[in-house]
Amino acid sequence: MTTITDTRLRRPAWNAAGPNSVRRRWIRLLLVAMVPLALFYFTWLLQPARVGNPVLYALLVAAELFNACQALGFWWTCSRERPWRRHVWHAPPPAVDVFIPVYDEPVTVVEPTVRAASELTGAAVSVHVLDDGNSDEMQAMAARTGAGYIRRAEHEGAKAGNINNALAHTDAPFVVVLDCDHVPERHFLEATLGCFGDDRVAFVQTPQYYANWDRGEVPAAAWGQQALFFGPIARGKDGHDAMFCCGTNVVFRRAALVDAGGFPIDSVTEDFELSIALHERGWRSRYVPEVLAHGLGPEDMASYVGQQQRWSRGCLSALPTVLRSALPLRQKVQYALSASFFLSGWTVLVYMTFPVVRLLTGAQPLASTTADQFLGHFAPYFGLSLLAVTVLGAGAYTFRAFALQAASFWIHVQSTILTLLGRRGGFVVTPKEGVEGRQPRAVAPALVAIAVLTAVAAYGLLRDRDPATLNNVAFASLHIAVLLAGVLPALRRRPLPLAAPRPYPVPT
Amino acid sequence: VAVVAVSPGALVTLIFGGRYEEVGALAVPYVLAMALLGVARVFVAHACATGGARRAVFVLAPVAVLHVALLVALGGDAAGVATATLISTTVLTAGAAAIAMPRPLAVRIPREYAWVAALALGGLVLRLLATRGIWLDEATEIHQAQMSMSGMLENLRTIDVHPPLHHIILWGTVRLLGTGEFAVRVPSLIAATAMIPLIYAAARDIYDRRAGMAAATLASVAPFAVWYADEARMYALFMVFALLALWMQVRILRGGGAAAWIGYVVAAAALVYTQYFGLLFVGTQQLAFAVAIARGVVPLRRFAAWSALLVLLIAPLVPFALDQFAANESAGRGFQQPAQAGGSVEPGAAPGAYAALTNLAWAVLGYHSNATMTALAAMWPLGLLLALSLLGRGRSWPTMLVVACALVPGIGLFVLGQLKPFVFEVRYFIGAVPLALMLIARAVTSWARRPVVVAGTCAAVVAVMGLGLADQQLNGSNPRVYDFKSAVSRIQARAEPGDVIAFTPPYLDHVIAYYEDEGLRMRPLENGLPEPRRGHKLFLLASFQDKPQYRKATQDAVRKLSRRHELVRRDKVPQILIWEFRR
Repeated sequence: MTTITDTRLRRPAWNAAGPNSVRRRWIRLLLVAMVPLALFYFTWLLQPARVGNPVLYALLVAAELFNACQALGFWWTCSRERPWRRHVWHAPPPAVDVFIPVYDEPVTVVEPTVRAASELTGAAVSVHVLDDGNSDEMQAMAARTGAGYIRRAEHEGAKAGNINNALAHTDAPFVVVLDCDHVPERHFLEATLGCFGDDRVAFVQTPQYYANWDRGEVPAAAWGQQALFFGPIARGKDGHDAMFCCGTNVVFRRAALVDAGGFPIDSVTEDFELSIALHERGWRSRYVPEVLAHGLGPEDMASYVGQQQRWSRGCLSALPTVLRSALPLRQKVQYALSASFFLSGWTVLVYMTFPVVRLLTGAQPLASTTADQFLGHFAPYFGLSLLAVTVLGAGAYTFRAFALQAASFWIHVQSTILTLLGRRGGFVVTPKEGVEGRQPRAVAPALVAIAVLTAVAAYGLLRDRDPATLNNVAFASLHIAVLLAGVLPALRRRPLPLAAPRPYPVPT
Repeated sequence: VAVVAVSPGALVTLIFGGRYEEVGALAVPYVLAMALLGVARVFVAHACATGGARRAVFVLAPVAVLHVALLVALGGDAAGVATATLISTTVLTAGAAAIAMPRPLAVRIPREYAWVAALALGGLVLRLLATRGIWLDEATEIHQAQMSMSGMLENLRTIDVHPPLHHIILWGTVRLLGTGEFAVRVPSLIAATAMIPLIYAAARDIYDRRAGMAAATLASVAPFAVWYADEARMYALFMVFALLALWMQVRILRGGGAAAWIGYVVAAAALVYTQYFGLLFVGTQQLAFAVAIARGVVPLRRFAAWSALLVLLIAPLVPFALDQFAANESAGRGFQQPAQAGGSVEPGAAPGAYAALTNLAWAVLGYHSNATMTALAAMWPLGLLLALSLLGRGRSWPTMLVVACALVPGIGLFVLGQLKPFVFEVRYFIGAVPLALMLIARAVTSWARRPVVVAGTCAAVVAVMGLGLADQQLNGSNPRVYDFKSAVSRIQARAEPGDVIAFTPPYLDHVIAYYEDEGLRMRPLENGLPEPRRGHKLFLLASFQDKPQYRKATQDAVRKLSRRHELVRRDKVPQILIWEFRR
């Protein structure tokens, strides 16, 4: 027995597979029950008598309707989950090129990935390190591990350009793309290639598992968000034939890539736009709910913010493409739901605005209503929605994940504005190792929001302590607590380990 | 002690004279207490002589605190002083014996258990200090408990709406300890104090040691547990039996044997015999058993056998309950709200979200003034924060079971409350309170990892509950506090033979009779305004002035009396108004 400290070599602590058929039936029942509760709330909310301050009311309704659409979309997506069974590749083992794009990551991060990729079973595998960092050290590592090494003279198109370049230098009928920190399981190809028995399948996506999820609050929260996506959402999207490529841990049919003209190089979420292009051409996608590669999530707040900025810029800029696309309606709605998710930060901003405006000016969105009435209509919808997230996410999506998402509201606002202004974002690689030290700049907008809410709440309490004021102070406190929970990891000098840091035993 | 016990009254009269005859009954407990003190002194001396002086201090100090607390709580009269002294000396002797015993005989108490014992002792002190006068329902039950057993059961069967277990316990208590305020509340005091070690054991078994300790700490200061420790009603028993039934069910589902099944069946049956709404709790547990059977966790045959025993135990109650229902229906009452509810959310209105919030606040933070409750209810957005913080949590089956048993009875009564609003009140699903404490303890001890954070959070929760307790007990605006004791006492201080007390509502009769011991004439206003003899006084005592019919009756009576008599004085104690007229 020996011990190692690389979290990627542990067994996964998460099961991507869905629930059994009985439990699935119960979940569907729960989801069906949500619809009348949502209707009950909205028929109450949308009555003319509820209009208080018209502008605030319009903002409230817009935010609530947006969130309701997202919620309905979530339930609809998850309700299409279908039982998974592994498909077997019956033909002789095919040739597969494994691409590992590299930019400036340390060799220590990349080498385990290359070594694990070289040992994949079930196909004739050629591993290629696609080095955009022009690192001699990386080249030496590739030589040492027996992997191919491809370096470009010009680094056009970031990761997409790098892969397109590699496509031109290779010829296997199947191509695996692995981010350089994602260590694949030996049976990665055995678990995925069977799906290509259907000639219309263009790519097979697998979960992007963060093996370092217990190395701090940021990776834990980020993993909570990932787990919800790669759990019920991805399984449901698969049921809708609308699973999109997520950039890593994915197997492509080369013919499909060629048909789409390779990865689009004018987007920062090239995988998302490539998926649209493939689905438009009639290709299909599959999702394998099994952890087949172990990667590293963002370990500090700056890395997380960078990742989210890239995703939100990319998805929001892809939104017009989605709406203009010739996709079948079901797929189009699925893509629109995914892309528009990155507008949800606006609703957080709207909700935070209400107590501030109420405490400063007395204006409020709703009129002629009591807390009893509001809660009577809202609480069942809200409560069951949270229950649905907990049940569907199998407990992976936690308050920590929610708080981090809420505290990142400003990223969505910023991305929307930049997208509307037509500013192009650059491709930023998510750092694979966390940085120690406080990162207040990464959460500065959220800190400003906390300061404003605190000041206004204090002002309100000093001015009056009637129930209406207390109610709005409580609302402000709710936002402050959520934002604080989200930004706290960035204010710590050292990441707070969630489990005792100890070496993990592995068999020798 | 044996010599004194032969004829304490005669002995006291012989030695001290007729002046002390009336305290003769206290001679036995007092001499017994002194005897125990003598024994304790020997034990302590022995401990000091053998190097156990430090341990002796650890026994003596808490007993001294306990004794002071008991004197404050009970020392209003000679009987109270005797009771306090007997309790203190018993505890002292037991503690001193434990430290003085030779090593091989001494029971080594783990530190954890010592803490729980200290918490239980602290909880007992709090419960003894938090006293208040007898409440209407208590007075009625004390009145019933003074009947013969058959008479009491008949009375229950024909005019009451409660199952008989607590009445039977009180019947025995009255015969053993008398009808004093403290005496009639002894069963509740014991149950509410026993809940502290019980919740520790349950939470430790269901979760872990830290959750057990936290739950015991919370239970020791929980306002509701303290409140109902001081009420000669069935609610403290309800909490204990519900907690026990849940704990035993968890043990069964973990593969527990006959002991767990017996514990469950007895606790569940006792729960139903304590309060009919206990059926909702037991029903929820049966649903959980059904799920367990479907999943193959519990063998159907074993469940059927033990359930049959439970049904057999509960069966004798069915005709009793049916008789009660028929009697109340024929009297036009149905299972209506007992007239003496007091401090309801919004009398007569179907419960809504606000009522649910209020009940939640009551369950965790206790009873408070209307102003405090309004402020607490206005803070409902913090409930959204709580709901959000539960995201992804509570998916272990024991937690789901605890949550279900805490919530489902309340939800059931909420639904029933749409027809009969009065039933949606937390004391009717008070079994949820210890379960809520257990869940809070679990959350406090498991959500954070660092011991400092856990301890800090636990301290903060205890502090909040402590504040709630202080406000509940000390705030005179608490609408649940009806100070009949002071009201009657003030009247008696000014009354002379031949004076009259008129009161409203009419159902105050038992509580006034409980405190009135000077032979004053009493009459409800609803039977007509009494006329005192010339030169004598009429005291008008009015309560429940939030109810229009009683407010109107009071106003009419005051108007009439003011016309005919001289208004000498007006007085006010919590929830009660007093007028003094002289003819």
